[in-house]
Amino acid sequence: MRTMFLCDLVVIRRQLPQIALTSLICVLVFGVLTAASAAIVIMVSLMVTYMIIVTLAAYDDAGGWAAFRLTLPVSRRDVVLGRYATTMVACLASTALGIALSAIIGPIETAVLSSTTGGEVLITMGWNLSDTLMFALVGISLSLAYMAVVLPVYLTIGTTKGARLLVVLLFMAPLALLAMGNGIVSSIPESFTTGMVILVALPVVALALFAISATISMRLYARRDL
Amino acid sequence: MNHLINVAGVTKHYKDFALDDVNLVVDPGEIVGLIGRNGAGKTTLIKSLLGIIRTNNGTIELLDDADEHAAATHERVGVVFDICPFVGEMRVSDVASLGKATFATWDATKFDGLCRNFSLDEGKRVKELSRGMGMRLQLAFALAHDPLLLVLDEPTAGLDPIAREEALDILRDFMDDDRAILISSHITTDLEHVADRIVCIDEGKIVFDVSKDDICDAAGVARCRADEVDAVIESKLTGTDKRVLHGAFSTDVLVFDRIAFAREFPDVTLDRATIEKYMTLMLKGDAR
Repeated sequence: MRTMFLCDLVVIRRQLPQIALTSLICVLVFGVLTAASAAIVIMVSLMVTYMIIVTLAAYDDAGGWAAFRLTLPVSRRDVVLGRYATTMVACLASTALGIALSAIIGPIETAVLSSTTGGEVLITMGWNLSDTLMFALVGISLSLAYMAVVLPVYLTIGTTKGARLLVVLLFMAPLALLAMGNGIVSSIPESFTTGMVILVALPVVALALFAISATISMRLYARRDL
Repeated sequence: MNHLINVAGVTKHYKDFALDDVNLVVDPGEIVGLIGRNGAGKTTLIKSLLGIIRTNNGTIELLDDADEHAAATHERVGVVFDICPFVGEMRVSDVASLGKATFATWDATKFDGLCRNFSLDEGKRVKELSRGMGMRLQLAFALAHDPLLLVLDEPTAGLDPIAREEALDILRDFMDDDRAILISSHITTDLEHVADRIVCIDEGKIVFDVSKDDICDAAGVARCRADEVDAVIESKLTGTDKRVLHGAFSTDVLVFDRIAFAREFPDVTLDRATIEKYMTLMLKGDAR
């Protein structure tokens, strides 16, 4: 797993400045438009993690790299676990980046908002540390849950077919939730929908999904012909 | 170590193609050339033995290890593909970092030396390298972790004659009594320069597995006139499974002992066999 993680790191490291710059531009635009700097952390966490993983997945498919990688001293299990480790590190690092950006932009935003009417902004939430940390937890949870879906798809059928399947899932999942939503929501006891319980439950559910996803990916990747 | 590669009864089924009961042994000290038409199964066999694709039946042992996918086994195997597989955005120096991260036996000094010898600029991106330079980079990567076995899939395809000769020199330098090379190639003249044994695969089956000397030194091609054909085919020197190819000006018959044949048929035109001609007669010649 460590070898594969280092392998991913060597492959992606030249792209990291570009990914960081892209997210910085998005953060600035988001910050100006919404003044919801604490929520920036969710956006950076999701966006940067996905950009790193989709870039690695695209490289896997290009020029026979994924096939060649299996000729190195790494097992298929190492390949999968290494990619999940990369995802976890990317998720934590991007969330840390999100917190840092939020902490830089937040006070500036608060100062600007307090000196203006704030009429031009779309959403105004201001910035404080506890909100930012709460959003960080939500960002990590959402990133891991999303990657739990993305990773088995890319590892099993590659980026080209995988992207098509994920687009279908992207449209189908909200429809399915809408169809079942009322029933699900009404079946949850009210005490479970309080903020603190969600904050505890969300990371636990995300981690469980991530672990299940890794197990499924290992089984699927073991059978894949490259 | 008994065999560096031992493939026994391997099958792999696809919708329109199957690798069918393939057996192949490569021993220390050998360079084995794998030949065959496009789509014959060469790359499928190589991918099978490297664990890139899963087989349906049979056993594969690399370096005496029954688990051909074991990481420790791959530590001593160097691989070169026809197309440079490293990510295009990586620089040559990143490839060195990759080797350091993946191989316990990685020799950074050796890699740097090979890159210098091959005129590989460490700052260049993989996507900027020519085909020849990409092959050199792969060779440097394959050799820098001191492998016992090299597996090469069409390494000289698309290279100019000088680059090909350089690649063959590197392979000759690599060899000693403990090491071996399996090399698939359409350029049979390359194999005439380096290989000890030639294995031909067609439609997923091994057609012949003979020493290069049996082809290039012993065998011949009799260019028969119409009135000579029957007598030549009757001769025991053309084997039991006669290989005959009818051409516009002569009928070519594969002869397994060229010297003896020349004594028996002094008037029949006889050429030394090449790997290409031998393969053509074995694959396209009528079996009588």
